[in-house]
Amino acid sequence: MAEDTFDSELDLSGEVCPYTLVKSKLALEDLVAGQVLRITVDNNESAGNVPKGLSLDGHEVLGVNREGKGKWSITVKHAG
Amino acid sequence: MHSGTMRRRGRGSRTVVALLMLVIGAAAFAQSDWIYAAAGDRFAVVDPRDGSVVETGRLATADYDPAAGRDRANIATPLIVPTPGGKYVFFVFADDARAVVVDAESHAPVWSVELPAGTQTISFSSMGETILANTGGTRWIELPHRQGRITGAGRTAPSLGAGAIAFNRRATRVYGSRGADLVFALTASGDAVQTVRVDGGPYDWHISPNFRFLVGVSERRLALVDETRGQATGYLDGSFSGGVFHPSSRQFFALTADGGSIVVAETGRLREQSRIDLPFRLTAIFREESGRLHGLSHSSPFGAGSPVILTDITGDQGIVEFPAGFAEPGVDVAATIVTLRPGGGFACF
Amino acid sequence: MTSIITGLVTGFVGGYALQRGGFCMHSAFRSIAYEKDHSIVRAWLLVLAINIPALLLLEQLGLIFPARAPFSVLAGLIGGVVFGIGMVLAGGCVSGTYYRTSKGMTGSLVALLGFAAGGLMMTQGILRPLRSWALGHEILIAGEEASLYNLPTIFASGFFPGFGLRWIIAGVVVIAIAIFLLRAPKQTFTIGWPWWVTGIVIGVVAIGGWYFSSLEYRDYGLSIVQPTNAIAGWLVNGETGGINWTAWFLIGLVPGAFAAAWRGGDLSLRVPSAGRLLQNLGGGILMGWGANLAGGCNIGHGVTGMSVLSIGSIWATAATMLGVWAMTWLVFRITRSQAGAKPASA
Repeated sequence: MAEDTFDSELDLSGEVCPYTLVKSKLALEDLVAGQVLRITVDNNESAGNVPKGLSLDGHEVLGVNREGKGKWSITVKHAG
Repeated sequence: MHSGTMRRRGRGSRTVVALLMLVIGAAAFAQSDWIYAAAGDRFAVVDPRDGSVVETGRLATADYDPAAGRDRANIATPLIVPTPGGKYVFFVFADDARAVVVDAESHAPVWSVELPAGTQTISFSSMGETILANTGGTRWIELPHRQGRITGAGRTAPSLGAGAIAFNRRATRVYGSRGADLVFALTASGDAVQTVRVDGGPYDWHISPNFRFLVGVSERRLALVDETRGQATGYLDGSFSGGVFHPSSRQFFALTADGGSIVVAETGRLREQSRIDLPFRLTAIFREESGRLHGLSHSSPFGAGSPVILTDITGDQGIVEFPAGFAEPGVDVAATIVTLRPGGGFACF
Repeated sequence: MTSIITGLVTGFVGGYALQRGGFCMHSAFRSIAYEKDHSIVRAWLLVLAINIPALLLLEQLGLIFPARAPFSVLAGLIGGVVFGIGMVLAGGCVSGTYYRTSKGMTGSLVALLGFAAGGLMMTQGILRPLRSWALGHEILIAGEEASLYNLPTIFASGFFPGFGLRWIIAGVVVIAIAIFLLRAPKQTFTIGWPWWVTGIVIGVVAIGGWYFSSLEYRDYGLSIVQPTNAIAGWLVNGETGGINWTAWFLIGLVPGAFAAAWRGGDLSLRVPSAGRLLQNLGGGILMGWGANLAGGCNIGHGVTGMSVLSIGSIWATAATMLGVWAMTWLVFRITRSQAGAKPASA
């Protein structure tokens, strides 16, 4: 799966909004168009809000996966 | 993985149950009602739950004694007015323009306060920060109040008629008669917000616990005014001397002028729903927060015609006699209910 | 007893809905200024659009008797801004910290403890004089708490607004909200309930709050601040005077949110860093100060007070948004400068 390969990783366990979205956006700013960022969050609200927010910013969300109890991973491609 | 969750939930629900039981137990004695009675310079406290007289004493403090310089038989029975939170009870001696203040938790007279000359009656605002004193006719004086004491100088208040007045929830509006009409006035300035034409006024005004309805009581009829609509919405003919709202605000219990019955009127259109015939004449009725009604009689066939408190008018009609020597023959007895609301208030949502 | 059962049941449903709908009003307020996704704002506005006409009808029928919060410019402004700042630091609104605590987020639990402590300080403790002072300057309309319903009296002295005019005012507000809601884009990446389900369920719960409270002669709807203070006051001072329907609602809310988190697979104990916990605590205390100065929180003002078009509640909610926006802006700045010094990504 394309979601398994990524250029950069960001672990946001223990963070809640607004930090999850803020840090995700900042991390994406460090990437160039086409690069993939994998973000880990520990609550389902961030797992909804982060891809929603990034998608509306124009980035391409490749997938949101529940890795286990209280753990979600979001893979997103920088749209440039 | 799941067993861990289950175990945690089990512990959580046990904690919740324990917390619930503690709160229920503590809430059971959060509030208490007492019947306060007075005759001349004597007062008595009755527990309405079992009809026991829990306290009797003289209404005198270090700085004031209503019996000083006069016969006990000549002391006019004071008006009893509790503060809205029920912490203090004012016994107003109109002849001396002074009130003895009783602490409703210890049932003991604690101090006295001086009232404006000529004070006949006093009314507390709903939050208790203001006392309006009627000094005869339509003259009213406003006094700041806090914790059973008057904390500043009085100022002339708007004319509100001689009858009973009422306040809205936070005492920003005051309701009273102007001529035959009911006026909604600003407490601060006395400016009229709304003048409601009411047939057959003036009335003594009572406001419902939810502050939506005003019922006027007179010797000719009852009148109902909807505060939100600013209109009179019903009348009920009959001769009445007083009354109280049910805690739900949905009914008004009006005592007939002859003291022989209570008319139960609903507060939609003021139709008579039922009538409670009393075993003997009452001079006043009052109710607990629970809705139980109690009454005061001057002329019961029991206790050789001496005054009694009737507990639970609608139920088994327990009768409380006052201790010997409480009321001198021919001296009036006054009584009212005092509801203590610890920590009550409307400060914060 | 009815009050206890209806409170616990309504609280359970409310907690379930908050959790499944992710009804975080902190996120809603922030998103208005900073984000393109407004689905929680829509859920909130739907709650208002349901409640405004429903409550007016219940009032006209004589089933509820709404009180309104006093409109104190200073208390609402200062309290609201401080509350908003606290919300950002605590990582959620007051209702949010309750339902997040229920799914095992210790940061929210710490914020909640701070909130209760801050509330006691402002209502019974050292900050009480500040509150009395700020609440002392109140604006009334015709001797009543200001609302959009009695606002016309300002322009026509001696005019008494009846129900006819009230319905017109309520209608204008509801139509404005409806137009915004009908233009909603399709919601993506939804975990839990879509915004309109959340809005309807919480809307019905809020109406229940008014109705059940009125049965015990309390003339206000859902609130979180008052029962939190009441429970905290009871635990600290042993006073039970403030324990009412909303306290039972709050006690029911916790297992409701817990059940929703369990069903949604979002139940686990999460412990952030010590620094973050301290920040949550500070945020909680600020929330306690602010909400008690303003006389309500995102629920008491933002949902309940706004549903009866109270100007004091609209003002306090606007001030809260201002606080959220200012603090979020600062957080963006600080996080960015930290990220600039030390790359965030590996």
